[in-house]
Amino acid sequence: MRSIEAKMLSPFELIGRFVELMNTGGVVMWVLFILNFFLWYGLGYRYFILNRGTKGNVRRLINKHEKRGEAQAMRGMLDYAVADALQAAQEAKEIGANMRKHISGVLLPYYSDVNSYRIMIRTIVVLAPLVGLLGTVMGMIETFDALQSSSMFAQGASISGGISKALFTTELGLVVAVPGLIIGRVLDRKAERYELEFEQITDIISTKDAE
Amino acid sequence: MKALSITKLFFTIVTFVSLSVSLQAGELERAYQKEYAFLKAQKAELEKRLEIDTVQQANELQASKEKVEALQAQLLEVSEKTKVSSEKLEKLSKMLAEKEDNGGLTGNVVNQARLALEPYGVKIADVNTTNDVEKIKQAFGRSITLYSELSSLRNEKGAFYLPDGKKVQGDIVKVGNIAAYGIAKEAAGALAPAGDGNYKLWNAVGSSDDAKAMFAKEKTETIDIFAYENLDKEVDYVTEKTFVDTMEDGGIIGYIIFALGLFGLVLLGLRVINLMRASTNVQDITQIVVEKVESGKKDEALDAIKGFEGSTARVIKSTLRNIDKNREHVEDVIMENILNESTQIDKFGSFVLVIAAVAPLMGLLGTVTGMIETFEVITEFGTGDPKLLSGGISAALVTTMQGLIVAIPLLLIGNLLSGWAQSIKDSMEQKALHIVNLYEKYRG
Repeated sequence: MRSIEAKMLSPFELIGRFVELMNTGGVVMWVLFILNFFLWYGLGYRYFILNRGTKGNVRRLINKHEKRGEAQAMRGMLDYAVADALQAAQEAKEIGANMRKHISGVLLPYYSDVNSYRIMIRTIVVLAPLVGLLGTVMGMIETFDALQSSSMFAQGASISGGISKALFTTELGLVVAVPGLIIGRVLDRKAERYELEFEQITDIISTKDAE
Repeated sequence: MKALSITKLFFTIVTFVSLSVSLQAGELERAYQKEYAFLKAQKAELEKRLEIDTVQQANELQASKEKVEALQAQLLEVSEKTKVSSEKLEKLSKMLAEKEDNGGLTGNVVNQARLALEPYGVKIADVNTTNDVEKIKQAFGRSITLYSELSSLRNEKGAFYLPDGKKVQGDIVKVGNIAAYGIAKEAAGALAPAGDGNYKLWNAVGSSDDAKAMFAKEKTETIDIFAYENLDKEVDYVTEKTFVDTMEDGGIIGYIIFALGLFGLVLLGLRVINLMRASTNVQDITQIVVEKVESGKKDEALDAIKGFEGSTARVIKSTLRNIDKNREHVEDVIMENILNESTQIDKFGSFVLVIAAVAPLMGLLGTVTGMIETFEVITEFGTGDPKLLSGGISAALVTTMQGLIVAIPLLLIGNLLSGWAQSIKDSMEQKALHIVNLYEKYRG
């Protein structure tokens, strides 16, 4: 129907074609487009927040921070977490409070940071195929209505219009959901690793000073 | 003595007999010779006769053999001839049957053509003087002419009905025999069958530009067209489907889904109010309390936030009240309070998600029952009318659509609210622990 031509199109033409393509699918396509936008916003945010920065294990990182203090460069979330934890350990020592509790209290915001937008991404991944299905059902209703009145209007309600709606929306729903599912899962694994490492930080610092 | 006398006697007898035999021998010899001569002559005669007979018989045998052979050859020839003629006969009778069949077929074709062409005012001669070939030729010739005539785009003068029932005169553009456009002073657009060969203006889409373009035989990129089978049956106008129509298509299950959706929305609203209450003043409370607690004035802090309501306020208040006790105890108090508040914060949360899960299933149920009804109609009336089938299916699909329309927002908002609730709980814990830490720091 719309062959992809080799020649370059101007941006306006491209946008025009895109809008045309979206309109063949009806309202549902725009809903999916917005969902897709939010999904990638969430994925991007999560990607940057989970950016590791420092490689190597936690113990070495803590040693580095202890040795260099303020001079240690902050490369990622783990660096900030270690710095905060060390500071909290210092404080706890001064006031004689339970060090482990003090540190885990300081690290709490990091846990919620690591999991930010997680629910949104999961929701959109579940939702996108459902929205696609909704579009399909609406398209099928349109098709069968047009069949009933045997009208073949090129625009508006029609047999071919309904079928194209039905197919485009399902396709876009899956196109939105599948990358979100895969990348979201990878980021979730990353976040789980961060949580483990936060626990490790708490353990290492609190046991180190007890010795 | 006695034996001697017998031998003597025997010898005397023998001598006697031999004497008498030798007397007769001469006579016998002569008789024998005579007889022998006679027999010999007879034998020769017989042999001669035999020879003659044998030759004669052989000759006769030869002659009859030749005769039999000749007869056999004749017989063969005759049977061959019979075979050929019987084959010929068979062929002829087959041809005759074929001819008869063909004659019937041709007659049928001609009759069919006559019937089919009759509505268009085309006649085929039905006189005995014209033979079948002529008739067929005529039928095909006229059909082709009619076909090319009907399949063309042609402008005619004619009348059609407007959607309000008024009959107007104007030009009618006929697209082959499957669609038409009408152009009159009052209105123009695609035409739909109005029954009994009449047209009416189709109301679904404004297609007056297309009609004018077709009339002027201009080329357009896309055209709106109403394709019909024949003009005998009236086509109902498409009325824009209203919300009420859609709900009626959905049936009882549609109403149930609608009610579920409304219920879910109400719950979501209540939940939003709950969460707003729990989270609005968090920033203010923590700011005030942190300021006071840093300098150890926990009673002042308690007084300052006395006016605040909501979950966070309650948690922080109880934290301040118990802040002097040992750390373990304070933490237990905080956890207990948060647990207490979380029943309020999580209220309706899972129920909304249950509705979101149930709604598409209800929709599916409605679709299945609708399909069953449709196919029951088909078992009764057959598949002759596609309208029965497609109308039923489109109505059946409505419930699935409703289910999804209810489920999608509920799922989205419900999940987002759960995330919000979780973050509220996290921040409450965080803030309370922060205050405890600050106080401990002050106490040193």
